[in-house]
Amino acid sequence: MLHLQRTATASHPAIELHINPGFTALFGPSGAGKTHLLEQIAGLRPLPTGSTISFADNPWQHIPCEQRHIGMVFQHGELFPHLNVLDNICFAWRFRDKCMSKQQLQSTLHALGIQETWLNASIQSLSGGQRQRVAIARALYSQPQLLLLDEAVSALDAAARLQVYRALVEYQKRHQACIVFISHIADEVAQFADDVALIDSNGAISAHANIFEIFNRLDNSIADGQDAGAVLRTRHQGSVVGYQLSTLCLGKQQIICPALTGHFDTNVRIRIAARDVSICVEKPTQSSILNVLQATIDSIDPHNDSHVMVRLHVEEQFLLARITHKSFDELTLHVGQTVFAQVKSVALMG
Amino acid sequence: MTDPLWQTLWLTLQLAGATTAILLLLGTPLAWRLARSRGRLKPLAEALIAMPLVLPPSVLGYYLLVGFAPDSMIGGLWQGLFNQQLAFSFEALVIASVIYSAPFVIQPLINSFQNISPETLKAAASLGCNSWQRFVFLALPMAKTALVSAAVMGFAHTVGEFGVVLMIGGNIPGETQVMSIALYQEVELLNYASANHYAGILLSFSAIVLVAVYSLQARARARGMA
Repeated sequence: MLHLQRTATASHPAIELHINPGFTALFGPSGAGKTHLLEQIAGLRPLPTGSTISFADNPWQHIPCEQRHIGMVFQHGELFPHLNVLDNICFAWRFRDKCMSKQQLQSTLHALGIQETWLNASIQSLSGGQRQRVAIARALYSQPQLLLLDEAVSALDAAARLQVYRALVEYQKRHQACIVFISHIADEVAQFADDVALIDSNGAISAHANIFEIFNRLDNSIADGQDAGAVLRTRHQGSVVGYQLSTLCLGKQQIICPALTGHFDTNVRIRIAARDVSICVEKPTQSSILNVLQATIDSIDPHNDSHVMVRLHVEEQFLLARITHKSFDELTLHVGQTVFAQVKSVALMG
Repeated sequence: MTDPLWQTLWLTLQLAGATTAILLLLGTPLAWRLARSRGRLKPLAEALIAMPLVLPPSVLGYYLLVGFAPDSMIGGLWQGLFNQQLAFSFEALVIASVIYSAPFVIQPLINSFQNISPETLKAAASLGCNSWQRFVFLALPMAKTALVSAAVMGFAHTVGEFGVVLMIGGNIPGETQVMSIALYQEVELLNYASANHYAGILLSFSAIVLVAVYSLQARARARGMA
């Protein structure tokens, strides 16, 4: 839907990017030029000569930002200080013809957790998190098909982030929108993204694939860092009676996690950090760790001097385990071996 | 209080009003353009606007006098267009005042426009606002305080102008005789009682204007919008 072919310049490498409807994360370290790239997509910065960009088959090279009908949310909200909250949100009514009706706006505000009492307040009276919600509402108000988010939820806590995320998922489904967002927080990417474009420190795209594949590979910068960990698809199966716990099913196996509030039989995305997974060659009994998954070793990467990264095949999905060289040698692990993965903690991604 | 005093006061206010209106009309878009520009001509334009701050008024007055003379290009053109002499006319005073008071109006506007973050303007562009609309719907309302104080300072500075008017005005009552010139003339004639009136009005006016401008800025700062 969005196609970008950027030629190289002295300061920024060439980039080719094809983005489909859904959530695409631009994930990479600070200073890698992610904001620069997002602003080039928005038309706020010129593309180098020879570059091409198109959205929904419309060439965009010579279309200025204001005519691209996008929504963009900046890291600090960039709300207009001379207008109150409602006037900020509805700023686009003069300039765009596809703005929300009053009812649509009300339900969007509700979904984003924007309270009616804020609407007449001045921008100066809002907290950082409130400003970010208002900035998102302002971008959604003109119902763009391309939404660009530059660390747009960085000031929100986990619960608020989830609420905003659900509102965005709803919006995305209704409009078949492309949502491109920047983040350098792995949890946020694991929670929000369908696809991930991994940006290296030079600003080039080192990998671009769906979220599960990106997080489960051993040969990219995520696997090298502290954020290494697999993202898995599970289904919400039920709750554990008498304990504040829920069960998820992963193929034929079961995972126990902190209590979930949603409906049964819905998809739940989880992330399991590689450092939270240990490997046993025999099924452990009488352990305090609740989650033990049977798996086969898919591949092994001598991660660094102290650790080995092991990719495990579990029910058609993958799990990463970071173990010491010493453990690896003592257990004499090899590819194709059946092992048991003990999972110390499961992060629910919603 | 005498009739000539009222006549002079009225003329002074007319001159200051016309000058301020023209400066706001021309100066605001120019200030916006300069605030956003990074071109090589920007320092030159800023220097030209700021020139009256450092130039002795008599120098500016001298060049305007030469420029407005009927045998000069500008003076001749004016004569051809309006069939009246430019030098020693009210119109000449307005043109001179616009030049002389320009830095007091345009400079604070440039500063205020420069305070608007580029990110805020980008946000507006992403919401469908073209550059003209960004000027009207963002820059102008966000620079409200600066616009008011620029207008007040431009007005007050024109009221207080002396040297340039002395050079090109000719001191014609009802046409070019403004308060500061009238005061000077009364002193020359040793007419201290009348001079006292002129001086008192100018002094009170300046005091009121300055207090108004500073309170306005203090209030804007308190609201976090200065």
